[in-house]
Amino acid sequence: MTARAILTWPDPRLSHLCDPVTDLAALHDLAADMFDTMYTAQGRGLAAPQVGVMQRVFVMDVTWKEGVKSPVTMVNPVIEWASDQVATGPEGCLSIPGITADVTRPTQVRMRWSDLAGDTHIEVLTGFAAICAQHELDHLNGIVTFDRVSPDMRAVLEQEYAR
Amino acid sequence: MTIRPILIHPDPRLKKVCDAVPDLSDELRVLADDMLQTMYDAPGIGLAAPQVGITQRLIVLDCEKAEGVPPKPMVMFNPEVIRSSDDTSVYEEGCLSIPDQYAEVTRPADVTVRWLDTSGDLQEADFDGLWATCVQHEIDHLDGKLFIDYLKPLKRQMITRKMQKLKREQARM
Repeated sequence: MTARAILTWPDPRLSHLCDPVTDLAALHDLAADMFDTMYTAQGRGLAAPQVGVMQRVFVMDVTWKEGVKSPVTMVNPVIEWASDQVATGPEGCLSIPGITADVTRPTQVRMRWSDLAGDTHIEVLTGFAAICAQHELDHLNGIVTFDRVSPDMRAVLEQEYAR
Repeated sequence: MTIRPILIHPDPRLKKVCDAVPDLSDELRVLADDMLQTMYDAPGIGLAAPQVGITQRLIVLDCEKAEGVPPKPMVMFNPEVIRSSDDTSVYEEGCLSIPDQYAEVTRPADVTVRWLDTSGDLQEADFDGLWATCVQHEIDHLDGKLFIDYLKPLKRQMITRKMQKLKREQARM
C-alpha cells in the first residue's frame, strides 16, 4: 500500500464526471492505496478523482477516529432515495485544505453500491455517514463543497482559500 | 427522543441573547426531552438550548452525580437568578460546547432561581454547591455568555484557537 498524492482544488480533475467502473479486479490496489492515503491525511472519506483516477469509486471510514475501523469501498454508488429532511453542517475536504464550508444536504440517504467482490449492497445511511457518502459521491460527479454554497459564500471561501 | 448535535464554540448562535419562551408548546417539550438525552449522552450536567442551535431561553440540568442516587433531571424555561449570595465558590468548569477545556471560575456560592416548569407553573428554588455553579453557567448561555468569558483574554484566545482547530478536524471528510 502506498499513500498517493491528493489533488487540490482547482485541479480540473476535481471538476469532471467520472466513468463507471467496469473492471473490478483492477481496483484492488487502488482501493488499498486510497485507504492508506485517507488514513495518512487524517480523513474519513476519499474519492478516486482526488488521487487523479477518474472512476466511480470512493472509500470511507467514519468511525476510525473514534478507535474502531469500519472501512467501506463503494463502487458505482447510487443514491436511490434521499430524505426530505435536510440539515446544514460544516464540511472540510482533503482537496480544499483549511476551508470549512456549510453545506445543506438530506440527513438520510439510501445508497446502492457494489463492493470490490462485485456484491451489491443497499443501505440507509444516517448521521455523519450520510453526509460523508454524499460528499464523496459529489466528487464522482465533479462537484466540490464550493459548488454547494451560495455564490456570495463561494466568493468569500475562495478568497479565504487563496490566502 | 433524539440526541441532537452540540454546537462547538466559536459559533454565532452561542453569542446571541436568547428570546424568552412566550408559551410552552409540545415542540418545546420535545426539545427539552431531546436536550436531556443529549446531555446525559454527552455526558454532561447541564445544557442550554443555544448549544443545540435553538436560541430560546431553555436549560436542562442534573448535577446528581453520586452512585446509586436516582437522576434528578430539571427543565427550566425562562430561568432567572433573582438572588445571589455575596459568598462565592470556585469550581473547575467545563462546557459541552468547549470540549476538554477546563478552568476555574468564581461565582456566587448560592442563588435563588425562578423559572417555568414543563407544566407552565412558576417555580422558585435555592441552589448551592455544584448546582448553583451549573445553573448560573447554563443561564449565562442564554445571554450569549460562556465560562471562558470569565478568563483572561490570553487564555480565552488560546482555547478559542484550539476549538477552531477541533472544528476543522471534525468537519473534515
